[in-house]
Amino acid sequence: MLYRMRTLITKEFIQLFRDRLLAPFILLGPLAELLMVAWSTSQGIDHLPTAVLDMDRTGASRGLVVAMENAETFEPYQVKSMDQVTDDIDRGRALAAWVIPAGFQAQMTSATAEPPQLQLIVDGADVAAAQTAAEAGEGLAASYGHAFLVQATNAASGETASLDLSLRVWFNEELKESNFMIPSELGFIAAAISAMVASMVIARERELGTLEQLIVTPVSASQLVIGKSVMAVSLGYTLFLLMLGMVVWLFDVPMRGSLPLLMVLAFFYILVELGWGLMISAVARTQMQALLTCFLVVMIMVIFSGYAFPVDTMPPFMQSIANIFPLKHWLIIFRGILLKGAGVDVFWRELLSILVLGLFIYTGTILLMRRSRLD
Amino acid sequence: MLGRANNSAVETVELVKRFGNFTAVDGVTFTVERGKIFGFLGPNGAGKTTTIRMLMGLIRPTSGMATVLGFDVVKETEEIRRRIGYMSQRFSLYNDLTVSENLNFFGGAYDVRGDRLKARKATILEMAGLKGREGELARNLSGGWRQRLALGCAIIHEPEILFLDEPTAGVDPISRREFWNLLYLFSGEGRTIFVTTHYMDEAEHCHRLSFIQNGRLVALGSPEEIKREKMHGQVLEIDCSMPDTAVQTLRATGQFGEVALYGALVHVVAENVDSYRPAIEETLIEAGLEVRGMELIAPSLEDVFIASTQGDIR
Repeated sequence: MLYRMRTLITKEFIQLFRDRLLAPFILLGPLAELLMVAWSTSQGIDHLPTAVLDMDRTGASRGLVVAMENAETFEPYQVKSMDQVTDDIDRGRALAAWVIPAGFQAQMTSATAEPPQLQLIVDGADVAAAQTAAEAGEGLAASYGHAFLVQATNAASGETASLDLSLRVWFNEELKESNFMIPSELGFIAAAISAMVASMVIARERELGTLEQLIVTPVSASQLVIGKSVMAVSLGYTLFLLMLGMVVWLFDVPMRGSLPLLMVLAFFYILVELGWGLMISAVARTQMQALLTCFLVVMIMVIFSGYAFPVDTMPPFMQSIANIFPLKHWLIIFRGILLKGAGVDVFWRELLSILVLGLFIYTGTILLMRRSRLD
Repeated sequence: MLGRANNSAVETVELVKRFGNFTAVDGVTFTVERGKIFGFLGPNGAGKTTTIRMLMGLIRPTSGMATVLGFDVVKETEEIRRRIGYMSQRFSLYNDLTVSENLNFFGGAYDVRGDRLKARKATILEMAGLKGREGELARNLSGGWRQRLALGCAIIHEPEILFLDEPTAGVDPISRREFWNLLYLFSGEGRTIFVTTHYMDEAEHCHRLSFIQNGRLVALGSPEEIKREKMHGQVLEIDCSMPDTAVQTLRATGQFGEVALYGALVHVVAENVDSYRPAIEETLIEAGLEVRGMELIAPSLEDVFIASTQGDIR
């Protein structure tokens, strides 16, 4: 029995490593994807092409442009009219624009006038860039206003005025959390890969006729499935650890909660999602069928689980459907541990939901497998 | 490892398998004695594979009863599976494993390990002529080698019975002959072989045969018995031009018994067929065909098979 299990597992790993493309593709593909997602959302965004409409043309306004250049977030260039600002942003030539009104310097140095009005326009279609530009813009306006006023105060009398920045975000009024994507990506890919690999290796045996050959040996269907699952889960879990290490060390994503807790729960979650893969393998006749069915399930999961869009913004009906996907609950747990340092006391409801859903998934899987074995 | 004593290797009683409205196997009853090579013959779609799959517990019979080594095929599949070997027409090997890894794997599946595995591997590699090629991927082996490796994997645990489902499909004649030599060796150890085939020359190698046609057994016995029982008449072999046309012409007359194409020759089977010679020759010449020769020959199994299946259709 143990010797048989060892034989089955050894064979899966020999096959995995003999395929020169499969293992590297499965490990490196998601890592590369995560790298790109992490890079584009968390890494410092700088040198954004920025249109500057300077209607003041004074020392103060030129000083502001120099301050922008020094801050490196913006790569300013001068434009002549508001139409050109609109046009450049529409066409994507500029991702941000500053509008400096006429009388900027006069208002800054006068104690009686209204605080000077600056306008920063950012292209909200690119969420990450927009958020960075907005944050950097606010900081820039505040520090520049402060420095200028200190200089002015020293030069003249004791009157003060503050800079008033009006921020406009175009195209996408509500900016989403920029760190949103990394936990999604990380929390989901490893489990999806495990399910996909398990369903494909089982379908492969069926397609090549070796499944029938195995069934007539004393190897039972469950032993075969366990052997393959061990391989698929090892692969998925290795991937999870690699990705976690990458985002924590390379991208400084906060790891505020308990690492051992996260590692145990991630393993448990991968086992639950593996059930999907096994269920698909009980139905799919060929590897291609298994792969395409997995894609379908993954797509639906992604849409409903808050992977790309927060569940809170979905219509109530859709929100209730989202609850049947373990991924939805897992993302709450995962973001909780990673970003908020939450413990089981905070997310025990989500954990329980995953457990219950897991029981449903595995019951369905076992029923389907029983049915497909004889006839 | 022996099955229940005093039992036949395989026994079926009124075995039936239906798929929806289609009856693939229709009340088949036969017995296979231990230590014999039992040939299960029939055209494609006759129910050979369905029967073999029922015997191995891969599908459940609709009705009827079957035992393998005295164990029930529905209730005692576990007992059966430890004692049988199976080789399908697809030579189900792992192409991405080497010769040696394939043997290790199937050995492990049957709990053959340690020194026994080593000894069995050595015997099988020797027997299959695969010595020195242990490290080669199964994918890179050609037909005959793959077939012999598949056989090796199926007998690594020294099974009581070996089931072979069209084991020589798509293999060259020399490899087929070598393969049959291996089967004789295996059978010589007192083990039972259950083989399906549609090659009639292979059927001659079997101790006992059964013919299946449209899910029903149409003949059962040793090759000689079958020839004696089923062959009412003699075989007249005709060598003529356009044999296709000749067959149709002769059949159209309806006077000469069974007429069948045999390679480029025409076989006419009937009682006292010798007396038809002049009439046959005349008919063919009238049809504008050239008759090169005619002679009485000993019937082959193919003649018997055609005679009995055509009789069945009528």
